Amino acid sequence: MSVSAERPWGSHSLLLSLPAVIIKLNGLTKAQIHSLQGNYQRFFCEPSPITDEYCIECNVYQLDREPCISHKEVSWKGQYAPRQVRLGNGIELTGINFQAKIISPCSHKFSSISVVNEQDIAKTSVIENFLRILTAHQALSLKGLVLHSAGLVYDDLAFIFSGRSNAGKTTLTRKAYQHGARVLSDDINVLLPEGEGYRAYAVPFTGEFGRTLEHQGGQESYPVAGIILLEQGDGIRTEKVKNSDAVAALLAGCPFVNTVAEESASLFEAVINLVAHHSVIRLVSGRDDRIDEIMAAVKKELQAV
Amino acid sequence: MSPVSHNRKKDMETLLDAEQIRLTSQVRFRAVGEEGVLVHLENGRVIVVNEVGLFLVQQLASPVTRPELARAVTREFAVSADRVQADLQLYLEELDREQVIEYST
Repeated sequence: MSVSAERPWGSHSLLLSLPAVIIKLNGLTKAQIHSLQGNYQRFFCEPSPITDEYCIECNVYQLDREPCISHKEVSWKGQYAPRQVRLGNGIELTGINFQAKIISPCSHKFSSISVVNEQDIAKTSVIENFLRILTAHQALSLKGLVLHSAGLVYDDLAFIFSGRSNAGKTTLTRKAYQHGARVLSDDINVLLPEGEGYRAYAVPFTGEFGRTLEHQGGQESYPVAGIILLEQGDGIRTEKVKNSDAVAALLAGCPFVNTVAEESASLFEAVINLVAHHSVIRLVSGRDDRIDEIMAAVKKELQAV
Repeated sequence: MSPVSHNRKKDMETLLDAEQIRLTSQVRFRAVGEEGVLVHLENGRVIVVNEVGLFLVQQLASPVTRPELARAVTREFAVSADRVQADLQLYLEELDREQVIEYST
């Protein structure tokens, strides 16, 4: 890592309460906090004995120059993805315009993130990527998952539509939102175990749909009603999915950790546990299909499983 | 077939039989019910294999030769050695295409 000296930008701190992690960003300027408010204000929280005990400290540093890294090294299947390198006791992340470390010397974790320009920290390509990756690893340590999916809430139950890019997650999200559903995210959702099942949590991570941010923050969560593997096609069709196919599809939909050897055992365990506790079905639908008809078919199939 | 080419074929078979086959270090798998799910850490591909495939993958977790693998399948599934030879070859070719296995002598 080419941080010549660990120079903080300022002297201010900010606590963010995300579903799988409370993170305390240290060394910020007031201007940086102001910029971070735009996307993350609902996830800001006040210090308390609980946050003091459980939060991950993250020092924000100045970086002398942009990381020397090729675009090929920060792309995965055609999409931007910061490079992850496993260290002895943590992970080093390198993006086009930031470097970061997540270190676990014992049970407690520390992290740092370094950027060249003051306002870079608030860019989604920096802070959001960092938080997504941190959340993915933290969720696994809690036996949960970060899943590439659209999370839609009907009647206080979360329907998780998992699908690859261009499977129709954002289109479905738009239709559902217009139809009155609450949107957790159209891109990334956090599922954490609780009791006999899993709950889906609101996250500040979003795709093309953007942030509605009508949700309350990182502690808002809903019981998972079912997992729906989303595919595009003609007409509305639903079918039950074999457990092995469900595990395979969901593994493929767990970004940031599904190609990390050290996380493989935990990831398998979490996905197999999720499939054991929740019904997984396949939904084939077209761009023009009505959301009320889609949801009726989904609910009917989930009840039948 | 000439005696020379027949001998070459025998030599090739002997060589192939001595080859050790194993899962690459980039593959992780789990049994899910009677089937198996494999993840290739390098390319992110996830594949599902049937009951026989899972048995093979479990055997391939440690280096094993083709004859050893064939004997294990014959014992496990109570099928004829001839049938196993043909199916095993096809299966190994498929796993090789998926970059799941590697060979060494």
